[in-house]
Amino acid sequence: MIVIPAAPTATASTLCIPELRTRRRDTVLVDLVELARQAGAVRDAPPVVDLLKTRERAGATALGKSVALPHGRSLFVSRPLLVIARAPRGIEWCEDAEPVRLVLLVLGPSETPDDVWHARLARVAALGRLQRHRQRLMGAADADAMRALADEAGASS
Amino acid sequence: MSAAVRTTTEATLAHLHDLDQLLAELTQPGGRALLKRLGLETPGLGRVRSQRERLAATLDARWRQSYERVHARYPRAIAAVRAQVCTGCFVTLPPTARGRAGGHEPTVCQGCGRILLWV
Repeated sequence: MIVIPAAPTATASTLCIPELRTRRRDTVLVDLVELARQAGAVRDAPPVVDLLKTRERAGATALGKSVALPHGRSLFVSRPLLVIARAPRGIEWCEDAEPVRLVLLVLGPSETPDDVWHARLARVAALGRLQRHRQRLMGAADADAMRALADEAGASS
Repeated sequence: MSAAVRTTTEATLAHLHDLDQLLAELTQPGGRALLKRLGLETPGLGRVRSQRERLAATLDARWRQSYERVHARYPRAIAAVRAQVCTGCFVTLPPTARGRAGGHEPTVCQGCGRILLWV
């Protein structure tokens, strides 16, 4: 069963979750992809979750500074989506990294060109890595404020 | 499984395609440069390759050969069909394109040869 931790706010390209309660990485991925499916960006959730888990097996996507950037392009994704989720209690993302408190899940359709995809990942990574963005995201009052910050930082498009 | 993915073969092909796209992203120069910039490493790349081979081995030989042949030609061997258009070559497909195999087998774009996934 999917437990939605907070009422998600969806727009065309960004979904924000102010407080994730789950503390296990794989469960977080399942929950976030299910939210993406409910928002209409994912047609079939299990293959997308599998892809994200496989990506983590290749090498964890923890960027440091308590930020993770899980990402994947898939035939099962129908439109680009960024899911921003805060986890104040921390998520055990991988063995050799500090607990993750900010998850930036980037999904894209398989036909997204490489250069567009790489540029998008770089923009979203900057959202989590730059201290000024990260602190404002973690301190934002609600999902709308989080999304406004992502828009302002150019990470939503 | 959604209505979009009708057969096990289609689902396996689609999964294989996603894994190949991931492997390309992790190994090709553009992707590697980005990973390096972000400080992300990929020590488990071999495990992904093994998973890919295990998955490919579950395919019917005919479809595996077909997939590998198209994959050797194009980075993406499978194209999603959106609004009756192949997203690989952007040719509008005829209404009969889907029904040739009676809807029970994957179909191939007559324009580019990619395997089609109707979504």
